[in-house]
Amino acid sequence: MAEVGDRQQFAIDGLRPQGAVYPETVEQVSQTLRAADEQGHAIVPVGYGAFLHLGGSLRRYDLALSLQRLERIVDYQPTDMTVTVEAGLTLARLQKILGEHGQWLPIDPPLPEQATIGGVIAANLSGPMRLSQGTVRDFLIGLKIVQADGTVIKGGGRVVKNVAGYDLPKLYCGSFGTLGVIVEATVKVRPRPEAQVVLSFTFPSVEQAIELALRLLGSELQPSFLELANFDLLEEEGRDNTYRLIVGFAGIAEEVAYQRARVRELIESGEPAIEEWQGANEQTIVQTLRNFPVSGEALLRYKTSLLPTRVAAFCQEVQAEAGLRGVSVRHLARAGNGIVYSRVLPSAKVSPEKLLSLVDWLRILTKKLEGYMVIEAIDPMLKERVDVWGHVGGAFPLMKRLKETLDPHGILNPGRFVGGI
Amino acid sequence: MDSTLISSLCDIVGSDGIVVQSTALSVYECDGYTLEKATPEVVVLPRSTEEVAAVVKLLHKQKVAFVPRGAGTGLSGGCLPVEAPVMIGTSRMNRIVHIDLLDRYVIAQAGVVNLWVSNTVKKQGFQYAPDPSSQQACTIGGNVAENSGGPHTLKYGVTTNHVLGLEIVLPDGDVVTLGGAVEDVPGYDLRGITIGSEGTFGLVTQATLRLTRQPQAYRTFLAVFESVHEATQTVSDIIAAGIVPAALEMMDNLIIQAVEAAFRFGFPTDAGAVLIVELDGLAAGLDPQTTKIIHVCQQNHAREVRVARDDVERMALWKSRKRAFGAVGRLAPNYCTQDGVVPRTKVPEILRVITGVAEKYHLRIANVFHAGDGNIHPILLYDERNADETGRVVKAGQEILQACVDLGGSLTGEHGIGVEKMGQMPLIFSPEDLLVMSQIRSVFNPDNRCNPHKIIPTPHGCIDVRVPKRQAPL
Repeated sequence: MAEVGDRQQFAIDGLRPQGAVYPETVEQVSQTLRAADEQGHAIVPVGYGAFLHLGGSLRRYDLALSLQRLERIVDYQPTDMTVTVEAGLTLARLQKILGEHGQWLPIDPPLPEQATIGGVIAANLSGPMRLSQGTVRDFLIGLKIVQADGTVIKGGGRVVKNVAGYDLPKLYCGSFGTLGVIVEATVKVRPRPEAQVVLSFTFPSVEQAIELALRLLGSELQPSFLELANFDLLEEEGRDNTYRLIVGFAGIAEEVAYQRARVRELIESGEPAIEEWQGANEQTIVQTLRNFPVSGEALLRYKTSLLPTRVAAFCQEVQAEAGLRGVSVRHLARAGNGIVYSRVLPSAKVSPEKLLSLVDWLRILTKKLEGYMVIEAIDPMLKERVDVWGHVGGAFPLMKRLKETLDPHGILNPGRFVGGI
Repeated sequence: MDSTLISSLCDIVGSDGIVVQSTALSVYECDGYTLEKATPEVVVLPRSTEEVAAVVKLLHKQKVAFVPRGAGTGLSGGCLPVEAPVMIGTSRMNRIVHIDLLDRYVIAQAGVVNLWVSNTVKKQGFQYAPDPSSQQACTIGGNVAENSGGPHTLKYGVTTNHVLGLEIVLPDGDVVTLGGAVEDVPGYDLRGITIGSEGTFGLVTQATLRLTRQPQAYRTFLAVFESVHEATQTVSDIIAAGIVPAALEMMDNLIIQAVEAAFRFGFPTDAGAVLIVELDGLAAGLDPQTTKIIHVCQQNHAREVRVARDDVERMALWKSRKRAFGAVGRLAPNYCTQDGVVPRTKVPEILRVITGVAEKYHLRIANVFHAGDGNIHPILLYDERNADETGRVVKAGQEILQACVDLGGSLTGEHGIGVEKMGQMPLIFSPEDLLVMSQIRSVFNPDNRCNPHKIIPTPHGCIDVRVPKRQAPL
């Protein structure tokens, strides 16, 4: 099971594990964890390692436990609209199998070819479609978990409605592999939309763009996504003072046609013309939106959670401050959800100290706007000097006790989650 | 009870917030699950989070156990005071604290009635999606405790999909905020694990609720079938056709007769079963789906498919459905309901099991349920004065739940475990699964003095369910 050759592949912030293992059964995962727990070895559950930049600095790292060989479809009854899969199955493969039956799991996080179901759940990854569909949390109905000591447990079940016992799947969703290793998941699936259209508008200012976004959200329309970017999605060129609003509609052909026409009526005079994207351009735009949180070069990537009505103020203040500091920032906001992904572009002029000072400034700003900011990627040397998750608040003692209860020897991803959990 | 404790409680909530007289206390002896009864020694009715925190802090100091209670519409005995002398009721915490339509959320105190939330934002075109059948009475705090569902959860999801944040008073009196109005709050999803914890983690004092836009249009149908089998096959075929209706409900002949006698909607009392199907969304998308659904109904030999002409008729139809349980009293002196769940495709199978069980135990069993979700509610009719019949009801109910589990389902889709189904938890959970649940409870509620003896069976469980009895709306 152990293969030492892949140490580099699963390096996190420059830290390499002693080895990597690829269990093929739940029993092997259980044995690996039991042994690690007895010996106090630190384990990092991984899939293909595409999102290892997320999270705080590890305190220890002995073994990468890759779930990529646990990739079976355990049960799929299309007419039940549920599917049970092993955690290492990639999202792209799952979508392909579901697609053969006209269905899909309606989530669109970055890098579906590398993102595994287990990883998507553990890191609660999402994409533009969260506006209309929700996140993986909303589709997750059951989990099988291997606990730190090797015990196999389950939470939830395989039926779409179930309130028997505590809702364990919610706890493990977004827990970053710090409470147990997800080995199997059951999710609800949906019929695949028949049609999609992607429109965009270019505005001279962020307020105007947000104003239209809120107007669309307040109308009868049901956009599948609504994104705000301060760059050209086809060229990936930054034009710091223009903002693009990108709107998708998906569903039954008649619904999509209606919304496409109705948008034109909702545009006020003086507002910019609609651009409609088709074919390869539409594909490129959808890909760019989806992969933005992990694409391109960056000195710093951060994700901010805000109320949708605060997004304009946030973008504007960051833009102005960035100008003063000689830094170039690209924003992509899930405008209807208040989630903003940002990336500071590489520049020789930005010293590490300058970057840390920007991080401090961003923390103060998000606090003022009653939001949260999580640093998703930064130079490993600097990572230790910032708290990537930020302050969690009054619920932290509960979180810490949960971690100590479920992973008493602290072998799972030590240091990588909030407050050094 | 110690009179100094009562006077200290009085100091916190005022004398009008304390119930100690035995006649007044009898109101609090059970919820919608009436088999088990236990009267608290005192009921405390705080008005604010601060008062709840002060009450809980005092009880914690004195090592006195308590139970939270909303409107008492629960169906599994979740707020039964078992070895808990104090009950904390949220009925005076009934304010909607904050409304933000642009960011689409409201903050409601725990005692706010579910339907009030939607009514408050109705004119502006919004709604709070979860719609349990008891929504005219049940509270947000109770909905959070039970992770309540309702007919429209098929498309919109249940309570947990619509609650963004919680404020909770922990069993030691600390006030903690879980989640919040913004999405993706960093940290473990403690809001998610608290929703559905049936009041065993603390007392939720307020909740931040996501608002949803009201759909532009509805199409609501009543499809009439000669047999339950044809109706349930239609349910499977609608799902298989790639349509997700907003709601997909079934009523069998016994229920049709009771509901018709009560509400005179015009249901055909000789039909084997009816389906209520509702589509919602943009008007432009509804016609093609309507055509498909009517076609599926006809393929399954529907005798008739009636489309609600207007909103008045639609509301009348929903009123009949949501109050179906009230009408069941016409069929028998007593009844008991199960809340099992099976995979959607197993609905025809579980109904065959139910028919078989009814024959085997010589019982009448009526069915009204959320067919699209596979969440069945068989209603076992009986007369409690007939001890033999009552005993058969208990056995039949257990056999039905066992069949749900054998078909890959669950013990409860929306009513909770409470005290009622504690003994059956081992049917679906291993000792290891249950141990983790009790460990998680201990993180929030280390002394287990907040709603003790619920959900997780213990070897010394003091609840012994003997006779079922259930008279409440579902």
